[in-house]
Amino acid sequence: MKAPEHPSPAGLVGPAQTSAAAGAAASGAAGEPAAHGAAEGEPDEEPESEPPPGRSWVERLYLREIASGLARTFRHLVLERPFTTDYPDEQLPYNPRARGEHILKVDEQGREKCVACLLCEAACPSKCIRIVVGPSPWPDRERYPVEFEIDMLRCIYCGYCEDACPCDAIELTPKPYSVYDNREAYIYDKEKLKNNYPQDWRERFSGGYGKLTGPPYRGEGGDRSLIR
Amino acid sequence: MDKVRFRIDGIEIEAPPGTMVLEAALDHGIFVPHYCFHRALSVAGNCRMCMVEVRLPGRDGKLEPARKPSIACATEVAEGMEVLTTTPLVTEARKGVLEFLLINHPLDCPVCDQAGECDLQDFSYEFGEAFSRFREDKLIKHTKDFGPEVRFYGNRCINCTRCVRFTQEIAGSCDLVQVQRGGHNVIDLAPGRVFDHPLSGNVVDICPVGALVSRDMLHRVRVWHLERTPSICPHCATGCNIEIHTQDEVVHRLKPRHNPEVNGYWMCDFGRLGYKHIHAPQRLLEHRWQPRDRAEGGRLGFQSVIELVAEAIRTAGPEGTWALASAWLTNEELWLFRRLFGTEQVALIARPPWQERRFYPVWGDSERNPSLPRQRERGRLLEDGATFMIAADRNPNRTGAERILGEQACAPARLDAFVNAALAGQVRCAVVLASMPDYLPPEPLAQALAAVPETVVVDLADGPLAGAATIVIAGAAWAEKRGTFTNGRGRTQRLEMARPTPGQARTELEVLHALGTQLGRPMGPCSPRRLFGELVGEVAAFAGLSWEGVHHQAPEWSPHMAAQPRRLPVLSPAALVRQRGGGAG
Repeated sequence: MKAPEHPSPAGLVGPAQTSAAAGAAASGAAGEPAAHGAAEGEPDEEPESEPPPGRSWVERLYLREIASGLARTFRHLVLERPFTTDYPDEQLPYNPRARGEHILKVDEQGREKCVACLLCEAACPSKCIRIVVGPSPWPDRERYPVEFEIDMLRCIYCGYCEDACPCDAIELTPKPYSVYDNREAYIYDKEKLKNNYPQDWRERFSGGYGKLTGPPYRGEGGDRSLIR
Repeated sequence: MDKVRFRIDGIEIEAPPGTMVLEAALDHGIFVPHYCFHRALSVAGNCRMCMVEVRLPGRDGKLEPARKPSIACATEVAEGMEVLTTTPLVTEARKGVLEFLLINHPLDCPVCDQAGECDLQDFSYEFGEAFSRFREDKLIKHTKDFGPEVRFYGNRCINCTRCVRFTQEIAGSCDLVQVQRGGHNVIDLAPGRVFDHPLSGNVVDICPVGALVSRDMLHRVRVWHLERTPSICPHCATGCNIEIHTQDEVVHRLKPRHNPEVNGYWMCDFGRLGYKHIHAPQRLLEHRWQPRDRAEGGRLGFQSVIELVAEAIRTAGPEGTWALASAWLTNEELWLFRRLFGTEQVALIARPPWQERRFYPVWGDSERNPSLPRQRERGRLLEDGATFMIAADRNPNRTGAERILGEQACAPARLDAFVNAALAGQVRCAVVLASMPDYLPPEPLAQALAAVPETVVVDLADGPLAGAATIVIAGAAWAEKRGTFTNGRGRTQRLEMARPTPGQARTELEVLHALGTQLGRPMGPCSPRRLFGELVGEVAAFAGLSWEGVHHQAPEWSPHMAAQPRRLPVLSPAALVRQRGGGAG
């Protein structure tokens, strides 16, 4: 291709105006890489497909490179385990500190720890928390949430509610976002939030669901021992 | 009287002698934090929060600094005095005081109803430290219900004794006392007493912390959700200036708004709890047609019901039509009412006065309150030295009705005339605009209304009045309309709309306007403001008033706040870093 040495008049005029014409001229001059020139149509651009000088045509068949590449492919295919997982049958664990769905924590007697101070509701940027406050039935506290609802469709999982909570009553677990076929199911009530992090999820992390005691995140490739 | 000239933070101030430094500072927009000081109460000087540095001129005229900071609430101003409110010594003193006040204070903010309007929170944030050096066990004090409206949390109390002084000086009942000594000092009921005084709710307002909270609003809302609308209490002819606090169009509480000429800083508990009827389950939400023979009838849209009423009025003719207005209508509604029905065949219905006379007026103990003479001097006291007046008349706008419809139209004789005419069969159509809560029509009136062939009733709730009607129109409560009331002393005050009317309900102004339009009268605009303008031009008693002028703009409802805008702390990044450093160290 002679365009760099002998710029055509079209090349001087500019790409926007005459790109099609320049492409046609380039393909006529260079012959073999015509398809590239016609497709890209950039007259000023250095063609990248031109082989470096001093290679024979045998080398330019690139048989050795193709063979080594395929060997690597087959080696991975046969000898190595796959990096991908068969989602959703097989799921990688989230980082134990990931912010997924909420849990409303309870004390030893199964009573919610929440005192309905509404600070989570105040901190929530997406206004997805709805609490109805009532006098508590227990003598050791005055108020408790009669109703506690989180609209998981509105929630952005920012974790501000957890930060705001003075009683450690609400916590974001690594449980990823659930999928339902109706909107009502996304509005979690108090009972659902209390039982939102079932036992098999807790056992998945060695230290229960406490975040700081969970195993560290392994980085690339994941920790395969956790996949089951 | 000569005025004393002195300086606070370099600002030249003149004040009458005997003024306290704190009052003068607040009057001039210089905010000094304080708990126990209240303008309407005597000076106790026990919270020690309002520390300032004071310099007095010596014999040679040079300013001599005092050796210690002084409390601004109990320091009288003096000629040539120099007061400094922001020096390092003052800042350090405030920090120390706050640390002591917080020693026994529990970390109750998440469950405390005061959170969000708590002076302890505000001043700790503004002037205090973020940590406590106190490592010993906190004292536990009692929690109990002082009365039907007030609950006391002893742990949160800082012993400012505002409530004790209130019961002595304003309520005059001396229900609350301080018991025990030293750190065990706590507020309690006087032996054998229950705090059921009609002004008891005010101690909740003046409590600067969450020690005294309202049982009515206990745990119901968080105050930062509340929207505040200035309005007028409708439950008696005193016309207390109030604020309506709503969240999501639901009224949650009423608070007094400071107006020295009407209610001071206070309001009574009847008014304070007088918002329940707005959300009563019996509230009318749609218009009804219920003919006497029950042959047909049912729900109606607004336009249909207005057409029906207009038809009934046309059929009855001017001689056969009577109209009854209630003393709960605003002046604007009464003016429209007068334009529509005249002043001849109209009468006024109203709630009967209080049965128990002991409720009014309230006299404080002026011997115990040395500030009472001072308040009287400034016109802050009502006549006879009463600290608060609950009017016997339980209607907000009888005076306005008398001014607009005339004395004769509002006299009981006119109502008797209607009853006689109705029972004699001379009335073909009666239009009743009631919209009063807790109104039971007297027996003759109920009989008369039932005897009229077409009775139109605009009311709030299902009751005997709506039961006697053939056409029922859902009306608006006082919190749902704009307009003016004229109180028992003839003071015209404005109320604002705090929430929209529920369901199909319409304000009486809309009802009257639509009815007039349907009857083919020239009605003009349906705006309270324009109608008030007409009223001022037409009725002599309202001459000279303006819509803007009748609105008493007290900037803060909160009695323990200064009436002046508070100086907000300006935090520079450097100050933030200093605060962090101080907090960590």
